[in-house]
Amino acid sequence: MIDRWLEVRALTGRWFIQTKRRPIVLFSGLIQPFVWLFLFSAVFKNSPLAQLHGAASYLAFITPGALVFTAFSGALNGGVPILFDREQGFLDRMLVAPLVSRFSIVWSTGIHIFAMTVLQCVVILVVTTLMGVSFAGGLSGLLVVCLTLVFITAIFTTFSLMLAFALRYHFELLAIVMIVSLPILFLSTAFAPVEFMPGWLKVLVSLNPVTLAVEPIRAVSLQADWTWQTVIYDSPFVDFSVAGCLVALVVLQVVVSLLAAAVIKRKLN
Amino acid sequence: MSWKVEQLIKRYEDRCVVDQLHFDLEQGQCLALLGRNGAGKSTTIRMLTSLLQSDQGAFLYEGVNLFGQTKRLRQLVGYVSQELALDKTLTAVEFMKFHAGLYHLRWREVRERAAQLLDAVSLSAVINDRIQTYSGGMKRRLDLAAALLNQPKLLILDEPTSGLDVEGREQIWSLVREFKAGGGSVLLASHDFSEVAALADLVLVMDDGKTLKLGPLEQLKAGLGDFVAQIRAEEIMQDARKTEINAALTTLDGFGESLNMEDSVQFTLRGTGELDQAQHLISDHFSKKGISLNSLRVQKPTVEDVYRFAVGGGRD
Repeated sequence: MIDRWLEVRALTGRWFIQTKRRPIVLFSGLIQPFVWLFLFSAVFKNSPLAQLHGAASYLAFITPGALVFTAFSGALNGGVPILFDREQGFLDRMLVAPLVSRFSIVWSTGIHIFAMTVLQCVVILVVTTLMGVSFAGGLSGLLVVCLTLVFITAIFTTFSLMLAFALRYHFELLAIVMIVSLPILFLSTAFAPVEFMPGWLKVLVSLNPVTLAVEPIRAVSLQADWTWQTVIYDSPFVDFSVAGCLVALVVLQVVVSLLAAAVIKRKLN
Repeated sequence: MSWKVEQLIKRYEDRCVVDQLHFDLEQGQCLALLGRNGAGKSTTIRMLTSLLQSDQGAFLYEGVNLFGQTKRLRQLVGYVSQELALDKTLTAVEFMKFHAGLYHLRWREVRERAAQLLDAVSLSAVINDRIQTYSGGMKRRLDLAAALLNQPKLLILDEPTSGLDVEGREQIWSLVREFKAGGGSVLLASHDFSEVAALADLVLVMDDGKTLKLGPLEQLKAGLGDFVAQIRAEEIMQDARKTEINAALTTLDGFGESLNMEDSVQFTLRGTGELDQAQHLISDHFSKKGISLNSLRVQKPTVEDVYRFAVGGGRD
């Protein structure tokens, strides 16, 4: 147990030192959601409030989207450093060490991404609160926000790490991130309510994990009277409640984890 | 017997890249792996460092097969790769600390040893500078210091002084000699014959995954003969000239074997007395045959000769 702690601490510590020494990466990660927030707030300033699920402003409507998108994009890029390590031979250095589990390499990356996501989300919440966005959901609502962000970060971190071990070069992963991230973002309810979308798009939006993460956060942020059973999203397949969205995310996490574990285990051994 | 590699085999599809490799390595000994690029050295190293699974064979330490106990293998074997596998954003101290964590060593317990190692590789003055500011030599020295932190029993070095200046090489060699003197064994893959001559007790020459020569370096040199002679051309030696020299060699007293190189013919001699006697013998012999020699060099066999005669020509 102590050995495992020592190795995870060493591996995780390295990521944090890297972040400290490359402040531009951290800075851009903090700035990016605000660019989205302010740009979209300006573009959709005149959106009909009646269709924004009770939000007092468009900024209040997209803040949950910005939180999820921040977690999602940070997680999706999480595998890139692993590929850099492999290309530079550094991964071999870790693999020749008597690690209790080679999955410590994976865990350390996950811990670092979680920490960065928490930092970014806290900054977003603080800044948007200062800008007048209020949170209606109370403490249990905050728990929903945390759980949802944990799940969406875990899903895409796991997915990214799986790709990092399956691919050979970082540019391959970056290409996939580039291809995948914008469609996932725009095929979700992060920036626009589902009512704005044509029927065929609604189907795709319903299958998107980002939608399943945005909707519960939005519900607890905007509705003081929310309950776990409140239907917050009526997809073409099933009506999702707050709890239903979380369960769907957990199921997705389990599926992605099983898939990733098989790929990573094969590559590491 | 400390270390033993038995019948090691690795195949990629139909191609056998390491074919029944077998060697013993005692405590305090260094075995040099020599071979062209693609001879199987790197594959061998990757198997012995647990980065690659062998198809067949055993890697024994004191009679225990480490292929069945990879964690034990990783504790016992230190590895310095050809690539400079360092995180350049860290400082030397942070890197050593990171390395300590990977080997489950508590920093407070190894801090002093880390400082000693960094001192031994002349990095004491820059331990808090980022590795990205280091020269290539400093990075190589740090890499070796890190590999020694957990006190491995076997050090596997893949081209450890590649790209280093004379002083840098000497420092690395000195540390390796110290490691050997302390009872550690070394497996060295190198293209640098002076490095092999400086460090190796045993030599294994590989080609196409097969062992061409294996034994104590001095024994392999002695096996070639008393001297190795070389007749050189200005640039490329014509085939007709080579044929003429080789025909003359067949009647030379003490002649062993010859080797045609692009610009020379090399041959071994045995039982010809001292060096100057051997030189006279060759000169007289070729003179009698009416063959002029404009460049003749005779010397004691070197590790390079062992390699060249084993693989039968040049190297890449």
